[in-house]
Parts: sequence; C-alpha cells; structure tokens
Amino acid sequence: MFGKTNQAESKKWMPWVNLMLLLIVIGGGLFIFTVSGLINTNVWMNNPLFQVIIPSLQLLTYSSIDAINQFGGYSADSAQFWKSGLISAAGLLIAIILAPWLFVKGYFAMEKSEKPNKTVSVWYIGAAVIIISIMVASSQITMNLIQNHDMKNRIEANRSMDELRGVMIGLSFDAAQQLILSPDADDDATPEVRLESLPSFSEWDKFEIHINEQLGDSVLTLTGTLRDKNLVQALTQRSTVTMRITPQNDTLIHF
Amino acid sequence: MPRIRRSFDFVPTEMRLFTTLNNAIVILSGAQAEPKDSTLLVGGALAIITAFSLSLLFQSLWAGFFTAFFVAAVWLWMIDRRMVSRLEDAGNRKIVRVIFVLLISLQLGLSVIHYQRSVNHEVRLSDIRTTIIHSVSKIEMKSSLLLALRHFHSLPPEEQASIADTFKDLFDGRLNTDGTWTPETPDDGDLQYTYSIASPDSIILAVTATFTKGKDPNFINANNQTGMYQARTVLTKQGVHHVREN
Repeated sequence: MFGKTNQAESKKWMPWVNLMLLLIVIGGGLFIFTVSGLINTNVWMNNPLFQVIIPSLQLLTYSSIDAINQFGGYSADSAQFWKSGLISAAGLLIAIILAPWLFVKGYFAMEKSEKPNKTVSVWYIGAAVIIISIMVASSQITMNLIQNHDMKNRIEANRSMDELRGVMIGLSFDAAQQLILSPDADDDATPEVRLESLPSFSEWDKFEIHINEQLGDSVLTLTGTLRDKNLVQALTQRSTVTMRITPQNDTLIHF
Repeated sequence: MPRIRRSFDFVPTEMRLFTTLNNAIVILSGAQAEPKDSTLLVGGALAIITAFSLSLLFQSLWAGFFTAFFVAAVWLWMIDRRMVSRLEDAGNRKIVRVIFVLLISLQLGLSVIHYQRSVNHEVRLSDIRTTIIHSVSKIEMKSSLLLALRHFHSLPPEEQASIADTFKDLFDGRLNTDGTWTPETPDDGDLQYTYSIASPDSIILAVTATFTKGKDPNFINANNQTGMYQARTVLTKQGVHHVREN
C-alpha cells in the first residue's frame, strides 16, 4: 500500500518532469543556435513570444520610441500606441488570465481522469506559458539588479561630462572676451589669462580645469577632466575636454 | 423550399462563442468545463480589456496597464477562491497557489522596473536635449556678439561707430526685417532667435525653444508657449553677458 502511494506521488510529478525536459530541450536548442550565430541575438527580446509573455516589455519599447520622438520634436505615433497597447493587453490576457485558467482546468482534468498518466494538453499549454513567464521575468529582474549599479554610474559620468563641457564653454568665452577687451591686446605684452580672473570661474569639486598654454592674444588652450576616478572609468567617451580659444579668428572657440 | 432553422440558429452569437469555447476545452482537456468556469474566464478577459481601455482616457499606456494588472491580480484571487479551492489534491492546490504568487509578483516587479526605466529614458533624453540646446544657442549668440565687440574695438578712432552700427554692418545678411535672427548653422526648427537694438550701445540676442523644455514648467515664454527653454545675450561696450531665463 505504501509502495502504491509512492508510485502515485511520483506519477503526480511526471507532467512537471515532461514539461521541464521539453523547455530545456527547446530553450537549450535556441540558446545553442543563438551562440552559434544561426539565430540573431535580438530574437530573444524582439520576438512576439517574448513580448506577449512579458507584457510590460512592449510598453518599454513604446516609451523609448516615444522619448526619442519627443527628443526630435515629433509627436507621439498613434499607430505605435495602438499596436503596443494591443500587444500588451494580449500579453496580460494570455500570461495572467488564460494560462492560469488552463493550468487549473488541466489539474481538474487530471484529477478526474481514471488514468493517472493521461496527457492533458490544456495543463501543458498553461504550465508552459506560466513557467516560461516566471523564468524570463526572474532572469530579467536579476540582470537588471546586476546592471543597475553600472548603468547609474555611466549615466552620472556622462551627465558630469556634459556639465564639464558647459562650464568650459563659459570659461572659453570669458577668456576670449578678456583677450579682446585687453588694453594691451595690440601690444607684444599681452597679459596672462588666469582662470581665477574669469567671471564664470568657481571652485569646482567635480572638475579639474587648467590653462594648458597661451600664445599671446591669439591662442589659449583649456583642458578639463573629472576628478572622480570611478566616473572616469564608467565613461564610454574620452574623459578629457580640450578647448582652443582663438580670439583673432572668426571661429572663436574650437572643441 | 424554405430553409429549416436548426435550434442552434436561435442562440445569440455570444452564447454560440461560449458553447464553442466550452467544447474546445472539453476536447483538449477531456473533462467537462463547468459553465461557471468559462464565465469566469470570459469575465476576466472582458475586465482586463475594459481596464486597459483607460489608456485611451488618460493617453498613457502605463495607466491602463497597471489598472489592468490590478484587475488581473484580483481575478487570480477569484480563481483561487472559486476554482483552485475545488481541487481535490491538497498538494496540487499548494503548487497552483505558489505558482500564482510567483507569477504575479515577478510580473509586477518586472513591470515596475520597466516603468521606471521608461520614465528615466524620457527624463534623460529631455535633459540631454536641453543641455545640447543650451550649449548650441550660447555658442551661436555669444560668438556673434563677441565678434561684433572685437570688430567694434578694432576700428580706428576716425572710423569709430556705435555698437549698433557695428553689429548691423557685420551681420546685415542675418538680420531679418521681422526682428528674427538667422543663425550661422540652421537647427531642426526648434530654436527661434530674435535680435533687438535696445540703445546705440546695447544689442540683445534672444532665443526661445519650441519643443525643448526649460527648468521651470510654468515659465511663460516670449512666443507664448509654456515651460520651454529661453535665454538671452546682451552686448554692451563692457562685454557680452549671457542669461539663461528658463
């Protein structure tokens, strides 16, 4: 009798074993094809299955496209709005309504069946959608947690570089003006430009800016960089900004 | 010969769909789907579609999405009360409940992450746009006025003119009769430059953006828009002074 109970218990898990094997074979196959280059890497994030199983992914895509449109001064694309809304709503319907319902109905069918080994299609469909959804969501959350710190650093570093460029543009114009207005500008002895004498100068904690060279009243070179070494490492661009000021040319400042 | 109506013809379309769905489930699962369960499914689907329709009202897909998600979570709870609790095997009930909780919490967590990321994208791109526009307009206005200042100071005493005359001589081709200023490098139609001669020794160049946001969303711009970037640069004999107004 004890043996029979054990047998029944193990049979109860058989559909799960079958499902997991099926998912491992399909997932593993796709992974191998992706690694070998037979399937494009984007297939994972851009394919309709992914977009439906993770309903918020389509909205993220839409929001990104909309933000880029706004950046360029274009209004929102209504066709894209409808498309994303429909895909996302379909995703919610399939992943959180239909799949759980089929999953439970499948259990009813298995419990009512006289054959414990009976393959119940609705259970497999529901369970497969739910399990893929759980696996993908958990891997996406984990990846996000890992990448979040790096991404924050990179954003902060790029923002600091933009700020540095803005500060250096201000300093360059101040220096150009000082050289233009200098009473000795026409003489050989052009007064030396000092950073501290420029109106937009202040003691910046974040930046290190200095004058590289001054050739009379014709050329002045400024160099600036970020002080924080962590931000410098996080940068995806050059960490030094050099500006050449030529007050006697029509182009006053050069990057 | 008149067509003989089958009894099925009198059944309303919704009822026929319902019967078809029920039959499909019977075929697939091999078990009779209780009409109440199918009603629950159809009701859940309709509730989700209705909740998602709020996107149209608020013109925000995220508003509709999170409302529909909340409705879906309530619906899953109803499924638990009305269907899962009817499962005979306690182990199966436990498995279903654990999976439901995992599904809803992970999907919610990921949706919140995606929402935050989309808000960050929007803010970051808007900031980048404002930074670029600030630098571009500053270079355009300050360079032009500094060139006028240099020209003014380089004139010999016998040719000395006012700042305004120097400015007009130098930039005649870029000064339009309607008070607008043509920039050296045309932009994508966002920036509107204007010039004004406040006095013989004072020139003002101003810029207003049409879609680049400024610091204060309530700022009233010169072109009667609200919250857009705006700056001006003033040239006097003493030098060039740049002010970001929004």
